Amino acid sequence: MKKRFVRVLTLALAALLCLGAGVALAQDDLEQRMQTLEERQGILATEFDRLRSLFVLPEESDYKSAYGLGPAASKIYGRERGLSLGGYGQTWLQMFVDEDDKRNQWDYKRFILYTGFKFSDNLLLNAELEWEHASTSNTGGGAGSVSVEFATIDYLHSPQFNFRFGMVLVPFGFLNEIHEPPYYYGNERPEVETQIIPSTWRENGAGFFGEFAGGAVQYRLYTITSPDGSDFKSSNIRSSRQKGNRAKADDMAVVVRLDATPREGLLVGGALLAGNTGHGDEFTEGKIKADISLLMWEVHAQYQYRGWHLRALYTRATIGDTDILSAHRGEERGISDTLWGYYGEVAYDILPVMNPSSRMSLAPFLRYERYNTQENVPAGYTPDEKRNRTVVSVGVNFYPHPNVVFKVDYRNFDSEGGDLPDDLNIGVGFAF
Amino acid sequence: MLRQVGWTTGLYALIGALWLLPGTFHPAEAVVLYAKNEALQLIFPEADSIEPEAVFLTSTQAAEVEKLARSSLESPLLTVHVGRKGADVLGYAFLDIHVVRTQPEALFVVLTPEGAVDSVLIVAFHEPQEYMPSDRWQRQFVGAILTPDLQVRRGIAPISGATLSANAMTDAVRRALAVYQVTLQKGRP
Repeated sequence: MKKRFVRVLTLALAALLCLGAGVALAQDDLEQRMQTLEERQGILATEFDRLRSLFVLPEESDYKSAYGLGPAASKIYGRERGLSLGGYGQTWLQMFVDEDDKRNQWDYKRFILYTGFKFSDNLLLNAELEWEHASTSNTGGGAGSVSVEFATIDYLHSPQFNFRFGMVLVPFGFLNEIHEPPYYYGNERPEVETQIIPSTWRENGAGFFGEFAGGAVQYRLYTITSPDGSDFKSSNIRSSRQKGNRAKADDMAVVVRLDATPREGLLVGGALLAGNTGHGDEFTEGKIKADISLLMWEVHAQYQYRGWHLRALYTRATIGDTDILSAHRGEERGISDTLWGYYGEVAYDILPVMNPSSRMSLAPFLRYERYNTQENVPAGYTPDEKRNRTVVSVGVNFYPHPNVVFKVDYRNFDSEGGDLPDDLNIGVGFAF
Repeated sequence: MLRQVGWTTGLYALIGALWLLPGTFHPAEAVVLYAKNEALQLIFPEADSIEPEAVFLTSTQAAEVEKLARSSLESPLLTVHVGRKGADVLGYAFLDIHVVRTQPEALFVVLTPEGAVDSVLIVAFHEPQEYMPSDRWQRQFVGAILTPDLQVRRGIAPISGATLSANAMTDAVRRALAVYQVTLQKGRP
């Protein structure tokens, strides 16, 4: 019995051991399979990551050294990414207050397509096509226009020195170069940057641009076709912009701009433009040639801190030979040899106060502007004091998205020559 | 003919001559600034190992990340590169690829082992160069943690004329911080 018991026990133990070994073997197998699966999962994740980034950046630096040089690299990283598109637009309803002579209007003021093309890492085309007033047909208040707003070939040499050739935006003020509607307050651009600085001001030219100290100092230095002095008017100099259209090039102007960012959010800078604008034209009945020198400058500062936005600008233009020019134009009003203007504005984004997690923005603003385009007219003329103006604008910009803005503003116009019609504007603007 | 350009010609010639000085300046900016491996070496110069680790977000985690980040995730599968020296973790580098305007940008958001932003490094920028945030501007993110204030026009100063670039980078930083908070900080899933 005892022997038999031992035999049964041995068999049972052996069976248990076999079973245990079997279980252990199965366990080992499972772990191995799990490990394999994890490895495969890792490989898949790495491959997925590599594929996702393939068209944006190379894995290995070998590719980078070939970038822009070797045809294989450029095939992936170059041409497919050559074209860049963007744009902006704005429309608003303008309602005049207590004014019978002026009719309310709703204008689709601007629609702009931005196109860029990268020929190589160093050579780019930057251009903007602008449709103004929605149509070129003569409907409603008149014909709109289609213009190339700027179009340059940029050669990028280094952050410090780059070259630009083509139709350039004159680097003056805040809005002439950056004028997407989300960038400024109110539906219409500030009067000072319209009546004194004739934005959007573009001329054919060439020059250099770049930055130093890691972007803390930026400059632009261009030689451009001078404005056409024969088109200076007593009201302002906007008509003298040649806009790249078979521009007179007997006189050239030099324009230089410097901007500094001493700390993030703070921008200070200025620009200077000098040149004759006569272009060899003959004036008055006596066929007098006049240089009609133009010297323009501006200084500007902007500070953005948390929800606060503060902006200020002063600009002044001095024109020569205004007596000859005024006689030549034969207008009732003479052309002033001095134009000046300044403005200051403040805005505050109040939405974070109401909803800290909101990504939208609601910013009331106030802007005060003073300008005079009839400061000093030639002897024999009386200055038009209605061009000596004060404009106070108050309104709100609402951004449901950083690049979409709804705007409501009221502008109070006043002049030394009497009150002027005010307006209420309601509109929308966008950039993409 | 050209009446005023005489004195400027000399100035331009001087600037032109500066271009020709060999080795004076870095080569022109390229859209691909660093290859991925180069960037990781720059991010973790002292690391013994830089390993990619896959992060699989569950649908609950992905929703939580999107809520915290206030932007959408491209995929619930992410790769975080972990730099190590011996047994010590030096930091986590999150590669974020996103469209800025119409073209993509790739950047690494680097977090310290404690989960604050150590640095942001743009590795590829296919938009026009003028929209690329400067190094100075990017330094605003150093030390940042995930707070409601981490947003353009609030804790982060805007970039004039490059709102989308500023927002795109801020979103990427928020996403990295949110992924860290939901996965690494709470323990791996």
